[in-house]
Amino acid sequence: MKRENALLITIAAGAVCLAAGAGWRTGYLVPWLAELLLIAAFPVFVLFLGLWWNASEGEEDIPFLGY
Amino acid sequence: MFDYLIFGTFVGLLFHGIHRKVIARIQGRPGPPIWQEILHTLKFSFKQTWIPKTASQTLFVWVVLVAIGIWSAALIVLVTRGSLLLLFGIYLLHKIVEHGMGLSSGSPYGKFGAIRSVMSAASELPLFATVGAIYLFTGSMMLTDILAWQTEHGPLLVFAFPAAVALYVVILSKMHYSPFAIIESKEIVSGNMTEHFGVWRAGLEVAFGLKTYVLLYAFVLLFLGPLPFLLVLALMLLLLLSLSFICAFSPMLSPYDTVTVQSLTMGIVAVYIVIVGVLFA
Amino acid sequence: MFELPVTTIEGPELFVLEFGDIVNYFTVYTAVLFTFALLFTILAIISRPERQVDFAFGGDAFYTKDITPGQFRFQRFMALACGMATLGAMMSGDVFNFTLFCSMVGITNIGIVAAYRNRHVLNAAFQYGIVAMIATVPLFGSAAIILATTGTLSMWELFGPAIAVPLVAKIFLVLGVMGEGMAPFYVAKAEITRAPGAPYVLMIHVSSLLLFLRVVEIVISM
Repeated sequence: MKRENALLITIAAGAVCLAAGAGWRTGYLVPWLAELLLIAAFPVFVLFLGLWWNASEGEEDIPFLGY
Repeated sequence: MFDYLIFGTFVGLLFHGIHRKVIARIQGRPGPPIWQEILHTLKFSFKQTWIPKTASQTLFVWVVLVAIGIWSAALIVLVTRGSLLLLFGIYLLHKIVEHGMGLSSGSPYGKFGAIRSVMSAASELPLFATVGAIYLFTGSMMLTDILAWQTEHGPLLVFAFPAAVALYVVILSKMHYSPFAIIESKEIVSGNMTEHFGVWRAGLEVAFGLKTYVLLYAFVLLFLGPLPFLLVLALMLLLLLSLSFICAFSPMLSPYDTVTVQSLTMGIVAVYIVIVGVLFA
Repeated sequence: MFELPVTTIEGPELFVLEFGDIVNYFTVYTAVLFTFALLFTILAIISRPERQVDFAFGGDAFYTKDITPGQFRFQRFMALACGMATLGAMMSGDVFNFTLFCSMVGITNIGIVAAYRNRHVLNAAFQYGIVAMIATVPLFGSAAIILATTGTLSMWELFGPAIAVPLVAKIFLVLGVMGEGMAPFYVAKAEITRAPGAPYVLMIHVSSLLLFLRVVEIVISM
């Protein structure tokens, strides 16, 4: 996966999580909707955060003799 | 609510670290620092990740998402004081995750772990007994009503002690290094988690951290009643320490012995439920 | 118009679907179970099966089994049928419909693995088939007892405090679902999971656990 795509998805999922949490606390969102959004977005956030961290930055080269 | 999930994850992972530390100290080893499992999770999420060529790729990835999803849902049920039946349901759905995790990789070790997970389904049934006993006493499945009942009558630990023991066995069988943890025992490498490495493993660690947090939290809420949050955390830690002692002192059982012990627990609690049911009827 | 008599078990109903006198419904609990079944049915549709790796013990050799599309077509069909039956059982508001869906889950569970030619798998499937057949007696027996003693099969009536469902009917219902869904008979099922096709084999497990969860709700509510 491309680094930028992973970052975009992480930010989107994180934003949904934050919005759902805030909406639930302030009462702007119906509780069940906030809970549903959070349950759907949190796993995506966790996985894509990791995928963003470990995505390659382009042309890595592994030394022939190993590290 | 997002903050609850983050908090739950970190506390759960910290509990895993404390668990390892306590086991190590009891066995005369120095053991890793208590934040090791948090570092572990971070380390895994930095590692290079791909999907094994033999795996059923969609299922392989989705099972991780589902694992985090169901335990987030479980934490939300606890926080919003929802239905105990739902919590019980989510706990059973975890079995499907364990099973799917092992099956999807195509690795024989994963498969062994998955089949052991199928075999030890008896470990889930004591939870049903716990739910039944609590319902017989409080007449409701809603956590709000159960907590209200406890403020009025006193902790359920006193009234329904065998049910508490059953839940304790359930939590014990889900702990790492427990005598019942046959699905991840070392003779089958890491069992059903063998092929989930890198980010996938980090995701699973997050889910397992949440799971430990939710189960300990649920035990304290269900059997000790509504308490200040810091006291709840302290009690969860105490509960964890008792579990660590058991894990440190007992060897891992063979798969059939595990099933036997768990089925016996289930049988004893079932008899208890029938007796309580007759008394209350 | 339709309201669940007891809301302390799984909360109030969220949605009601009327087919004449058969009224299906969702509560938070059954909606969660339904979503889960739906998720895994979709996964069975979209994901390709894994390729099992086998080791030749005593040596370094290992080989990967190849699965051709023709082989898993039937498995996938059965997994889908199993998913549909599970979805039906999750939202059913009628005891007889629930038992029908349960027995259909039992049939499709065997179908998922029966096409795979392996002695261990077929043996386990055969034994499980016998258990499932025997279990239909208490399963439909419980529905018959409930109808005979209370005069209705609708959960909307049965869940109310006015109607007392005999204990034996409840026990039979649980026994029947255990036989069909194999809840405590997992040890026999272990060999079934040798069959390749993880998303389809997993469906066996999904359906049986979800059936068990649903029957717990029904029995406690009755």
